[in-house]
Amino acid sequence: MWTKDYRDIIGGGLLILLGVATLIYCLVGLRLGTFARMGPGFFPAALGVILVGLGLGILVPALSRGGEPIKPDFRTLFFLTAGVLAFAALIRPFGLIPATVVLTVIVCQASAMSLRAVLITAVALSLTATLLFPVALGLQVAPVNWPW
Amino acid sequence: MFYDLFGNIALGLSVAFSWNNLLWCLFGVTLGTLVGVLPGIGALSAISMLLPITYYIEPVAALIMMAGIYYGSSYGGSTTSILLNLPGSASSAVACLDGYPMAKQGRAGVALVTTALASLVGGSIGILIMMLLSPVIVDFALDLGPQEYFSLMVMGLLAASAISVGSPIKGIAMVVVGILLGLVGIDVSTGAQRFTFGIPELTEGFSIVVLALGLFGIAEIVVSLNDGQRGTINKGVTFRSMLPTKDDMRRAAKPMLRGTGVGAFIGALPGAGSTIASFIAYAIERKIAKDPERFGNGAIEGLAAPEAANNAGDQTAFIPTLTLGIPGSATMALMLNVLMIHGVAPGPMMVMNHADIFWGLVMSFWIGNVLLVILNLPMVGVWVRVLSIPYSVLFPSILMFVCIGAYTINYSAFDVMLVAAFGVLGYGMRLLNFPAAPLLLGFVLGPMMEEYFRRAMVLSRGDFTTFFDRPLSLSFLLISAALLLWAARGGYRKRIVA
Repeated sequence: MWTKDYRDIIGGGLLILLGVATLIYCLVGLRLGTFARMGPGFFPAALGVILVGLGLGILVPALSRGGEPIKPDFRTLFFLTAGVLAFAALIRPFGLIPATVVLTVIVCQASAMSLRAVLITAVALSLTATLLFPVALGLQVAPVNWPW
Repeated sequence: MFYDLFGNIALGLSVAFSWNNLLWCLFGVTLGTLVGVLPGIGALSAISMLLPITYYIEPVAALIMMAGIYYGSSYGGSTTSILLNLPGSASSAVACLDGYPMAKQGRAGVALVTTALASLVGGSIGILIMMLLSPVIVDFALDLGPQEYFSLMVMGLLAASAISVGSPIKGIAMVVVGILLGLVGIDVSTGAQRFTFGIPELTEGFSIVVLALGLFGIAEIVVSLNDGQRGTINKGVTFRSMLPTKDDMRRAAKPMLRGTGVGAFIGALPGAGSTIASFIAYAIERKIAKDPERFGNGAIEGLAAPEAANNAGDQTAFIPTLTLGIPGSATMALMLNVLMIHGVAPGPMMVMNHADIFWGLVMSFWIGNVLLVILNLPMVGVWVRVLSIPYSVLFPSILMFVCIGAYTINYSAFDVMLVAAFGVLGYGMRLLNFPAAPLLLGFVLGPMMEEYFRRAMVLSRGDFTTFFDRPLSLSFLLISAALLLWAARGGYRKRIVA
């Protein structure tokens, strides 16, 4: 138990930041226009103001109450994100099979799998992906590519 | 109004019973049951993964399949709730309350039959309501102006965020963030670039698939992966143990009908989904029961009513989505996207000009619901076996579908990177208890809202009172104000309890 509800303090604070940033962006970079002829900045600027209000509504009450601690699992998040980014980097230059294999090997680090199981999964998944997408569904994805 | 109902039914049947569409329907409900049974992947993620594939098939077939996944997952979800005390999908969470105690008492078979029956009853009545009500709404929708559409969307968005299970103000905040994300890209009426920061890939805006895959797909896997909460599976479900007693049937009949009513009504409101319907149906049953202490200890009423409610709601949710073009839930928003990909604009004109799509879809619901009963009862053993696949084997394949799904929308690696970014956002939102579904709804409705708001302001030459002058628009806004007030009071009450 925390003495303050930091979960909502952070959440409300981030919303206020987003609202202020939106408002500044609209005021600086976009035309607001008039009520009868709204410019591109009118609607988002109004939303920015609303966000600041909602953020305050979440943050202020949280200052005077306790809260449950946050228990993040950044390790799992890291491996999943890294795997997806690796897929994004490899799919075009190297093709579907290498991208899927690397994706599987990276994301499997998030769970306690043996190396053998990881490799079997990687091979099975890259074969399934190839048979399903380019072969059966006819999507324009090269199974293997070589950029140079 | 009803003069051509039978003609439409005949047209719908001819579309739904074509071989091609039958197969897509079977595929959809089977996949729906599968993702419903599996915790950690829901209808929403499954539909967004398959959305790119729908580019390549006919719009009717695509919708029939997507809808099958949607309502199929409600059937499958309750199986997991009953056998594992773990909701397979959000709308089946209530089935844990009395379904799992029944399974522990050795009545898992009866519980499964009851849910399947309740789902069939709820689903069927929901479809009937949809068939009768939609033409009426279409007639009436043709007279709506931009003021009404804007006010209706405000009401829908507030309803979706305020009547949710968590904190109303956080839901509303997520709607606003969603609208902002929806505005990214070129502004349709002025041609100005907004929030693109000079990145060429952003001029077209974000794809809803990318947003949904990140917010739901990736974030859901991170949460489920090291959850470890898996109960023991009750494998002894024989066909014989499935037969409910006369007493069971007598007890379950009325709750099923009451649940259907509640679900059909709430599902048809723009903005409120079947998850809420199932919770309300459960609460009503417990309130009117003579012996409320039985609830939570395997009361068959507490299983029948919410199951009927969520399936009735699943069907009636299509009413505002298809007749007005206003989706009631995040999943419905994806469904609309399927139509728009094929250049069909949802709304009253679609029901009239593309009667084959509308009625073909409606009639396929009948086929789908019957298929689902067959899939879920005699084949329950198959799904039990599916449940014993460890999640650590499953999640890499889900991720593979996520990545390839995101890539094939535009064959753009940038989209895959965005999925990762939205995954981080979605996980952060979960940590801070911000709901993701209202965000997706705001994302879809946001640009439409701005457009209607603009048109209304042009028509009234900048006079805000135009929204209050028209009776229908005024009543939508009054309901919205009531919702806001209710949400504020709810938050207030919660603070006193804490």
